[in-house]
Formats: sequence, C-alpha cells, structure tokens
Amino acid sequence: MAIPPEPLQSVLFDAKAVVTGEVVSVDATGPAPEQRSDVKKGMKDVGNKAPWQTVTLRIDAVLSPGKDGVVVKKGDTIVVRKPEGAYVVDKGTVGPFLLGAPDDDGVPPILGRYGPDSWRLDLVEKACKKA
Amino acid sequence: MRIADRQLNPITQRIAATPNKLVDDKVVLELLAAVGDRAFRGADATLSQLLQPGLTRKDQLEIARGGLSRRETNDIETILDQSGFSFSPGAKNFLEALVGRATLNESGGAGPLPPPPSSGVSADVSGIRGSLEKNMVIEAINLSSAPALRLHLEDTKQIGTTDAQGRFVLDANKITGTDAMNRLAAGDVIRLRGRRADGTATDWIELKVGGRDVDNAQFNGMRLTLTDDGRGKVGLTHNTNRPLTEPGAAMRFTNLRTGDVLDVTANADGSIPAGLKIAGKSGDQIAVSVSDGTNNKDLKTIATTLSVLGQGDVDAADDPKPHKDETKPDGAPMYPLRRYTGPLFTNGVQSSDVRQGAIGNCYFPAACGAVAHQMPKAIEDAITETTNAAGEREFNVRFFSRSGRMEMVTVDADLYTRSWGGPIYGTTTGNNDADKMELWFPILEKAFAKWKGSYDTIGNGGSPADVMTALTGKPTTYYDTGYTDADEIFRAIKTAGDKKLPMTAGTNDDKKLYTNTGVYADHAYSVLGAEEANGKKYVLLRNPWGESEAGNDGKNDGYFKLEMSQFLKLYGDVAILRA
Repeated sequence: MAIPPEPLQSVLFDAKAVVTGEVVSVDATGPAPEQRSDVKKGMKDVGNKAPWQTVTLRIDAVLSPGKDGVVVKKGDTIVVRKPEGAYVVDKGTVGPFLLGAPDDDGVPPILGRYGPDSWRLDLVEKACKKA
Repeated sequence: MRIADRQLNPITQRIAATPNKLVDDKVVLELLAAVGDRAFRGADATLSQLLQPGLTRKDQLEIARGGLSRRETNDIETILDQSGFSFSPGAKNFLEALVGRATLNESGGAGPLPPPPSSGVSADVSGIRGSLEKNMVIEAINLSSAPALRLHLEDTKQIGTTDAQGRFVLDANKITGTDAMNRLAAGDVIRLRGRRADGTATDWIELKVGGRDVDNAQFNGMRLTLTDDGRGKVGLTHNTNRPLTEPGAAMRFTNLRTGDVLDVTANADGSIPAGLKIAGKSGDQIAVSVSDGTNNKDLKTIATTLSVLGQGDVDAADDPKPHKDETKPDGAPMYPLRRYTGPLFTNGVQSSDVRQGAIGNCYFPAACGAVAHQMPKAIEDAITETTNAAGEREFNVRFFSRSGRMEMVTVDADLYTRSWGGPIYGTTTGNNDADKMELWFPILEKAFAKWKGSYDTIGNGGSPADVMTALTGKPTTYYDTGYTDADEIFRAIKTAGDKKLPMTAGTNDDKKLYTNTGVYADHAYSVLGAEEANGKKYVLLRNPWGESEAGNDGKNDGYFKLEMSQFLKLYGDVAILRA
C-alpha cells in the first residue's frame, strides 16, 4: 500500500515519545496477513500488508520525552511493536521512531504508515521542537 | 485604575510595568510602608520599621494601620479589585486584612493558608503556588494552549506535589515545556487539581495566570465542520471532544458572502453549544474570530476562515462515489463535495503539479506525472473546459480504451473535501484553496474514477502502463528488470527520455528490501529520464506523493535520482510508452 504518509503533525499528537534509534533485534514476527489473489503483472498499490513484529529498539536520542507509561532514555533499549502494515523493520533499521500508547502488554507501537521511513529526521526534529 | 495616594501611585505604576504584575510579600511591604507613613514618619522610615527583626505579621499590620487614611483604604481596595495584579496568597491576605475584609493569617505566606483551594492557589509567569491538602500530587493542564495541541481536557500533566502542610511552590521553568503544560503565559487559564494517595481528587480549580495578557485565545479550525443544511442555514458542528478554544472565549462567526454574524461564548470545556446555525450555503467562507476578553475585544482580527461544505449547490447524483474507506455504513460519503473554482491550468502542465491523495492509486498519479513531464500537451488536449446549459463549469475528459476507442467523460469540479485541509484525493502542489487550486490533476482523477466506476474502483491498486495508454491512446513496452539486461534498460530509458516518451517504474512487494532506502515497496514512480555523470549511470525519478525520496537534497519534493545498480535492485519493472 503506497498511500502517502499521514501528516506528521497529526501523528505527533498521538505519540507518547519520539526517539531516534536502531532496531537491535527482531524478537517476534506475527503470522502473514492474507494476501490479495487478484494481483496482475505490473499492478502497484496492491495494499498487501506485512506481519506485525516485536523488536528491541536502542534509543540513541530522545526528541520528545516519554509520557503516559512510555519511558525513554538515551542508551536504553525498549521493546516496541511494529504493527501489520506497509513496511517491515530489521536488525539495523534506523530512523526517527514515534511511539504510541502502550498496548495491554505495555508495549508501545511504532506510529506512522511507514514507521521510521514515514518522515525525514530533520522534519521530525523540527516538529518536536515546535510542539 | 485611579490611585489617589502619591506614595501608592508610583508603586502601583511600577508593578503594572512588570511582566507578571505580581504582588508578593516583598512588594506588599512597600505598599504597607506607603500607607503606614505619617506626617512625622515617611514611607522609607516606615519600611525600615516594618522590616525590623522579630516583628510578627500582626505587628506589621498594626504599623500599617497606624497611618492608614480613608483615601488609602480606598486605594488598597482599588488595587485588590481593579488592578488586575497577581497576588501571592500571603500578600493578598495581608492587604485584605488591612482593609478589614479578612482575618490576618499570622503565619503569612510561609504558613498554612485558608483552605478553599480556589482562593488558595495563584499563578503568574514565574510559577504556580498555593495550598491544597497535604501530600497530594498536583495535576494541571493549560486550557489556553490546549486547543492547538492534541489534548482532551483530562489530559493533565503531573506538575508537583504538596508538602506535609499542603503547600506547594512550583517553578514555571520546571513544570512547563511539553504536553498539557507546554507554557505558563500571562492570561492563560490553568485547570488544576490535587490527587490524593487513595486515587481520589479534589474538584478542579481554574485560575488565570497573572500578568499582562498579550496572547489571545486560540481557535482550532480543524475541529469544526460547517455544513449546508439545504435550507439556507449552515450548521456548526464541533467534530471532536478536544477543545475548540479557550473556555469562556467569545467567538464570532461571520459569513463573508452575506455579512451575517453569529456571536457565541465557548462552553467551560472549550466547545460550542450544540445546534448552532448561521445563514449561508455550501461554498460560503466563514471567518472566525475569538477573544479571551482581554485581547481582540472588538473581534476584528480573524483567527481562521473555514469553508461551508454540503450538497446545497452541488449535484452529487453524477459524481463518482468515494472510496470505501470514506463511506459510511449506510453508503453515504463521509465527506461532502465541495466546488472548486480555480484555474484548470497554471503555467501549463508539469509533473510537479501532481500530488497523490489518501487513496491507493499511486499508479495513476505516477502515470500522470510521467505524461505531464514528457507530453504535457497530451494532458492539455485531453481536458476541455465547457459551460453546461445551466451555466455551470464542466470538463470533458478524453480517455482511450484498450482497443483504442476514444471515450468522453464529463465531470464538474466538485471534490470530496474536509472543512479544514482541502480535498481528500488527488490535489495539485501549491495552494489548495477552493478558488485557487490548479484543477487539471484532480479533474483528471475524478474523470478516471467516473470512467472506471468510483474512487473505490481506482483506489485499490492498478497499472501505470494502462493509465499512460488511457491518456495517450498508445501502447507501452514492459521491461522486467529481473529478466532484462541492465544496459538495455538504461538505453531504453535514455532513448525514451530523448524522444519525450512517458515512463513509469514500479517497486516490488518485498517490503524488507525498502526499509531505510527512501524508496517504498508496492509503489509506482514517474521516470523522468536517464543520465550519465562521472562514469556512472543514473535514472531520474519522481515519487507521486510530491515528497519522500531517496537521498536528501534538502527539497523533499519527490524528485531524486538513483544509480543504475540501485535502481535495478529496488525497481521490478519499467513501462515505456511506445512512439
């Protein structure tokens, strides 16, 4: 699904913390969501989703401090959830991570349609300073 | 405010000139000295006497009362009632005791203060102080800044605790900066309460930050929807439970076409009363001005202008239905149509005009961008603007079927739109105002949706090659990068670019391949050409989002180039229009 990313400002409002960091391990991966069977050659924007992942994220910088149960500190590692969606992360994936409200297990989700690739770091930094 | 006493007058003027207009214990002693002076003892001598070690507050009060005249009493009452100054609890109690309104709290600002929290808490730009119950956690939210943030009124921030006596003094620098308490500016309305260890909380206390209020109330236009009711009225709907504006703010809605005015006072939660209506119809512009009672009192400064949406003058019968994601369970569109009146073309047709909307049809803007780049006249020739029998603007759009047959689709310029934020689907880069947005791309997209059935039909994936054919009537050549020699692909792109033939390229669905590359999986791009520089071969591309690209040239406009090896790694196919 290659729909443009959501407006940064709207997602930033939902973020409980904004950090830059690196995925140090992929700890779990969900089952593959159902894929479309009517895809023809050359077709784009099909919208198939990648499975959810639970990953460990090393925090390299805190752009917007944690709140509502999301505790973030430079140098810490935290477990976050990559929801089912249009992207996957892997060990070594870097970027700005906007983290949402923790789920029932206390694990915050990565926000943004494309996770750390949704918005350029400089735009996220600028938006965090402005907020 | 008129202060008659010549000793008090300069002190009050000095206080009024300070940013926070705070009267604390130190300032109050100056006031006491000014009223405590007598014919044989000036204010300076009185101040020295008031500052003598060992004096109690009661002693100080007696010294001040000793010189207090009727006129000075009136002046102190004026200061208390009309000055707009902020008073520390101790200072206020001292002045009130001086004029006989209250019993002196002998332990002053450092001791236990009267229990009613509403009178026991004050704020100025330096901080919040006062007294609640002992050992409470204090929660607060700035109601004045909340409308601009994604906050409910209950989204408070814990800003400190009370001590064993219930007192607290919270430094502004330590309690502000983010979220619910992002600032402490003069005039701001702060909502505050104390939470006990057992989880229960006091009632809310609302207090105004003392000082010279120069910031007007905010208004968040995203949270208001204006809808034509079809009977000459426009309904005002607060579309969220987050605040629209500061509690109690005065709001004026003015229909810029008719001049009709609606004055409203915001509710205590920053909302507007339900059921509000103003005369008007779809397409009208409604100016909104707000006042916090201090700033913009005449409501002449406009905070924002919102568009009236609705079916009043829009014929929806012949418009393509929206995507299922924008359709209510009963089949009705979630967003109304709005008529756009901007020019069909501004400075001709360019690839940079195209911006994909919130719909899964990247193949369509990618193809349009490619044709716009190489064959802009093909797009100009495909759209003819006319006026129908009713005198309304229409657009006849020509497409070619796969068999090469020309088919005409007629659409108007009514687009599914939010009150704030413009059209939902494809737009044109730049100004998206209803009377300014360049229309060719959203018109082309609407006609394509109508031709194929609906926005839902075109919004779940498709082929950019098919769109290039639909726009030009010519077939395409398809290259699978996994099965075609790299040099052959480069040559084909270079030659096509030189011949001004539109091209697109698509990425694969292997999402892992794209993370952190600046290129996105399952996505179509416009190919603008190829070039060689410093012995390396590059492909020039554009993301139809109009942003988000590989590398960082500082523009974030969707344009970028990839070295051939990287292009072949990330792109699975290339489609080139045949000459």
